[in-house]
Amino acid sequence: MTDSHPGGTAASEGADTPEDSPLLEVESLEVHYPIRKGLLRREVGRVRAVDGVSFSIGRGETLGLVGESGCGKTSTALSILRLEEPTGGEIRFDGDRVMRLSGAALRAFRRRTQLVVQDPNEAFNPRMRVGEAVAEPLVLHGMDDETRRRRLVESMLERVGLSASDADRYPHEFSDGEKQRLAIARALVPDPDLIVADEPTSALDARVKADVLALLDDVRREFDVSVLFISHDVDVVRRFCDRVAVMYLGEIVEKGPIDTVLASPAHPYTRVLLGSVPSLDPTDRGRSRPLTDTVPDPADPPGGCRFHTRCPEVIRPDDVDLPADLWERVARFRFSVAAGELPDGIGHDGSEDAAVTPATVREAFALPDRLPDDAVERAVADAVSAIVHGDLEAAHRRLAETVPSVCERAEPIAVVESDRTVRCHRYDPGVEAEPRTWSRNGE
Amino acid sequence: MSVDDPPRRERRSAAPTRFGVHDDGERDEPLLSVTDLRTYIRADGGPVRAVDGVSFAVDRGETVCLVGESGSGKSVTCQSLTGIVPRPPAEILGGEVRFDGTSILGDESRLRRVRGDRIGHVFQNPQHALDPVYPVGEQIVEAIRIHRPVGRDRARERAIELLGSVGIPRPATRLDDHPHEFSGGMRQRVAIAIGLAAEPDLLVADEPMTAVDVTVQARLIELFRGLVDDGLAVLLVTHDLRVVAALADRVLVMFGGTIVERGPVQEVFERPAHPYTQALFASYDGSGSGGDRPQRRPDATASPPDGTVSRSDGTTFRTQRTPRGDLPTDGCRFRGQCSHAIEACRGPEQPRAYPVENAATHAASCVYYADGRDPGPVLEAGRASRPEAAEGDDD
Repeated sequence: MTDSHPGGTAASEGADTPEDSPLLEVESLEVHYPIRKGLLRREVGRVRAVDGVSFSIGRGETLGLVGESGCGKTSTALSILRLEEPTGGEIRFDGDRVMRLSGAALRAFRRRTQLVVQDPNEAFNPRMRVGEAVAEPLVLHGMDDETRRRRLVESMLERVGLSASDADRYPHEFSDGEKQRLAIARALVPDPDLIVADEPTSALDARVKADVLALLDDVRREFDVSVLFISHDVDVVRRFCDRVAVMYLGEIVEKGPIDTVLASPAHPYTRVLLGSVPSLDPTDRGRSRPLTDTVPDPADPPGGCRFHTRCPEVIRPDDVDLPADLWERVARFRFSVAAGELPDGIGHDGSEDAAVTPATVREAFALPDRLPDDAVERAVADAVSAIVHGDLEAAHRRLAETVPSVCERAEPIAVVESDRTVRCHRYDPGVEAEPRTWSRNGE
Repeated sequence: MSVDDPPRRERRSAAPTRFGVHDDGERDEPLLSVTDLRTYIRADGGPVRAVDGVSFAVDRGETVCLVGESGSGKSVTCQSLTGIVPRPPAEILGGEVRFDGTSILGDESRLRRVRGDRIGHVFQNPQHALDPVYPVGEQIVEAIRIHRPVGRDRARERAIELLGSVGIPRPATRLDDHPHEFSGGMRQRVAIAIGLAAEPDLLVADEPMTAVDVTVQARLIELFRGLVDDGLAVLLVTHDLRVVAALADRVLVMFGGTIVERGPVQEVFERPAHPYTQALFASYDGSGSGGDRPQRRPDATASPPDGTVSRSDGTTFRTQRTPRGDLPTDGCRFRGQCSHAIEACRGPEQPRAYPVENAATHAASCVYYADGRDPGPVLEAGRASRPEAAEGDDD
């Protein structure tokens, strides 16, 4: 890549931003989608896809963004590339405010940031030779010299493990892994500073995946590109990224160096996420379990800490006098009832069922006949009896008024713990609760 | 064989078992046994040997995982069992499939009785299994009533039970929802509920947890474990070794339409024996820091990213141009990508399944394990690719 590139690099070289400042800074990013109803399309609510996300990516650094589907990873990525309009916050690329870019500066930004998508089959026009497809960014950015384009494309195809003559073939002649190599070639051709890779290996087989990842890793070092790597695959993130940010319901709950976060996750959600990945040891079949499986609606996220409805480490209120394990069972009971996740055989059809007795309900949630804390016991007893009568709603209300935790009252602040940032009350020195130690199976 | 015949005939005449309840008769025959199954797919330039001489068995209450990458023949194998593979272009050329003592392959009337009834199917993409215009309850009721002479009301009750048992909250209120009103993981559970509608003895599940998040996957794994504890036999197709480790009793590794390795899950994970299995495991190494680990792929030097593999005889082999077209159709299908390949791998027959280190149930279809040959170098490579090595990072 010794040829100079169209669009110029004035923005990066001429600017007075010091080289050690991050390439990309994202501050309190918000992407809300309005929910509209009725003839007048009145806004009746907002899906908070991304809700106050901040992070930065250094030059040549790879940041992994992990989380389950619907957590806002892709909306974040699209906003960064200015393919989507954020509703709030600030994105700075090489010191420039991305949302303010226009004209030549915007074109330069478009050249310097590239996207690699998950499904390589959707990334190429089936009627366009791949050489033209890979050269397209060069054309768009004003490189008119066809022989030079061709030379660049051919060298790039060889760089990604294909051959120069492949430029004349059509996409269907390539396997998925090769198509993803082509996508990488196309992203690299305009000599970008940042590549956003959205699940680039999820659609590939294990061996092909390993090869494509190795290639991505090589070229990002060789071309000194920063990468925002979006994935739900912890193995892949572990192998590829320098740092990782974990998202849940539109927020980053934990971020830090890859080895720190993946070896000893601090946030309960990160722990659940890692503990859900089955071990490669067939004798180890445990997993850490969230209180409930239901992911809350991002249009109406839970108050306080958004993870509290599923958090196995939800903090016990001061006035509740229960040992930790009993408290967790009460919390599981409460949020399972709220989510309607009752075990098989209890309250399925909402009608009265002769087989459901207070004893069976307690047994299903491993609750003892009597809890040592009187107030909690009364609430649990009322809720149990409401469930026996098929009134889940009443059971839920009764439990909610008795056992509020700091986790649902207050939004956790971002706490810096040595080299990582965690948003969990347990790490907040102002909250009387200690972080728990972690092991893979949550025991 | 003649010694085996009389009891087999007796079982054939026995009343069909229903609702997962079996008579107490002795059974020395597995629930499902597949012998030398061959399914070719017509294509320009000659048939693709999608399934080329596959034999295996699944016992009652057992989970068998069929592992391999796309195009290895896993799905076509499953679809051939009950004849749901699209014909044409596919054609089942030979082999025998016995289910509960009866030969079913090619017998359309028997297949119709078994398919969806005693053998349930779950597919990777629930969108394909669910009709978007009907409420899910309707679809489950339909699946029940096709196979069972029950009234609508009883079938509806059963549908609620089924939805509840696959972990759908408030199933009674979800019955009239349409598929699009469910999340991806929930839709997959509905698809599993439909597969279970007739209380099958065997569930054939093709990548049922590939398109879902890890937390949902963890729930589905627990769901499958529970079903197996209740006596269901499962044939699970997956390319995810972690899912295999979590669920399988036994593993079958497929490559190029053939089974290259088989054995109990712990044996196979402890001692991946076939070079292909080893390559698969090596690509799985989850360690990012990777410090003390050697090259991830034993043949990494022979396989630069351009997809060219050097054979030991000095010639090179281009991988993946047309994913299946380049594979040999005789001998060991993996030999072109195998760093241990020798003349004996050329065939003409696929190497027999030789026992690995004298284990009775662990076998690799690789000439290195034949009598009188030393599998040492291959096994050594296998030790380096053992996936557990990556686990250190987790703890």
